Amino acid sequence: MSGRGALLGWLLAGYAFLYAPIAFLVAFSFNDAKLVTAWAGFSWRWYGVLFADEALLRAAFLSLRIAVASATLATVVGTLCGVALARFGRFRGRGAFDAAVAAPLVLPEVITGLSLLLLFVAMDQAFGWPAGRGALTVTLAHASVSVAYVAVVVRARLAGMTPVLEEAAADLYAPPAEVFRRVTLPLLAPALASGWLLAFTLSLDDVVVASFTSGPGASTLPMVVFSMLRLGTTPELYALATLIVLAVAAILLLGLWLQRSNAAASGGQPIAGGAGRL
Amino acid sequence: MRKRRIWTPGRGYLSLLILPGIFFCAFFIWPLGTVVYQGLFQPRFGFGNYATILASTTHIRVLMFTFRLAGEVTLLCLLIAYPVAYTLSRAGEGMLRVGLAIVLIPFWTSVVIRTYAWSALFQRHGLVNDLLVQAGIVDEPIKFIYNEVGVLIGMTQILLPFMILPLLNAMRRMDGTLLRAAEVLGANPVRVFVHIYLPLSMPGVTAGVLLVFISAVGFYVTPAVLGGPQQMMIAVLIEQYVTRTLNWPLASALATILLIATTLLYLAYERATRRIGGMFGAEAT
Repeated sequence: MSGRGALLGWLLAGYAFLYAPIAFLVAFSFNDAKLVTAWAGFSWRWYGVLFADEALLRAAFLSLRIAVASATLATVVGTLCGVALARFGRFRGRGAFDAAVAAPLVLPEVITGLSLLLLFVAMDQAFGWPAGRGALTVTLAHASVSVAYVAVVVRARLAGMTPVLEEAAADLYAPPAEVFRRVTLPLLAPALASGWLLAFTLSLDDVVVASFTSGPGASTLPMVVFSMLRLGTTPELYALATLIVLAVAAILLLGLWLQRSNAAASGGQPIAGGAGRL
Repeated sequence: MRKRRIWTPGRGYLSLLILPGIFFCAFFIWPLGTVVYQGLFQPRFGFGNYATILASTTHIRVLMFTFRLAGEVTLLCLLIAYPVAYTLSRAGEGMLRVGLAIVLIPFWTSVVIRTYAWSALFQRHGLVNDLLVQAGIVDEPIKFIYNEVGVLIGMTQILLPFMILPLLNAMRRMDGTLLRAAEVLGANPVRVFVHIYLPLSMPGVTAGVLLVFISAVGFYVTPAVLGGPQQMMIAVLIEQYVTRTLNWPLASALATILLIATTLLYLAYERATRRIGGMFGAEAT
């Protein structure tokens, strides 16, 4: 009995450790004082300062634009990749190919950043495109990182579904493109949404790849926060952090909800199984 | 009626791979090749960059520190995460969902923001030191920041979910009848744990350890902010060569070393996770 109590205590202590910095930021974003050490009463003041800071707002807007564009690009490419991987079956070198697709997930960000920086410099020299570095190169860089994440999500979703619906459509003389558009894609919708959200969040969070592949005048929000962070702390950033944590929690809950409708959709498998028996 | 050739979804979807294939080669294989090439061929062909790295005690110290700190972070994560995952794995379905959601929110909260929170908490007159001094535990504020302690705590907090998730995945997949069989045959709880539970959870331990270690070796934000000059890690060094001294060939050579280490660890991770179905198994997602 005391063993269970100790384990529960350990669990709660682990959670407290995970949440300590986040709770601190959220609480002190409402602190009515310039210094971050002592509590001086509740106030919305730092949110006011935050929404008056034009440089930060501009960076936030740029980050959102990059995140939407790169997530969309990554979802298109990643979905094609995930579908082909899930449906292509076995071939020689399959294991190596799978490992290569998932490799960007564990590649250190500095390596990704450096390699893409070298790529963009070489491309600029060879073709004159993309000219210089800025929002476009950051978008391409983020998309190339996120493709692997989307592919993994899409593939996991397809792995749980039998291909009988696609086979039935093919038996009824639908060409591949039509089967993909009218059967595979609708089945994949929840995975596409969660893959897109994942790519969007990754792009909004990233500081390393962005600072390697960005140029002057195109500082994303994490880059600005990171440079402010090196200079010291201001409560304005606590307010920003609180908003970001809220957004992440909302996106995560949305993602979990989508996963649930994923699970509900795979309840449709008996129907697919029935079709296979016909 | 027009007759089309019947195709199978497997072969028919091969054409889907063309666009991802081009994308993958252009934005992954080719750039990585460029890094390796730069390290070997610039400014001239040979192992000159590598000789420079090996000849400098600063570089050796950074490499040694990187791997030592990654090892320490991994060990700390394992010690904290194992009991947490164990407790969660024994909880009911509803509790498990809630418990997982609680782990996932910090997991998805920006590393920059969490590092920032630690740096504010750990200031000389930050909240942690204030509480410690007021409680009379210490007389003088402790130095938490710009040293190893700060980097260690910050990275452990950030990487902890990477350990909890694979552990939990392996523990949930465990065959409960084996545990009950041992109990029925008269083994006491300690013996059941040591001889049955621990060995059965080992795939999760291997996966978690490798995942945390891989991530820790390439970590940038936290050591850059919470560490001092003595706590420079390889990623921070690479960044300095790229953005400050503009010595891209040397940065590429260092990145190649990091790349080789990561690849070897990743291959080991692939082997380990094949048995438990990856980090995001049925439960984690």
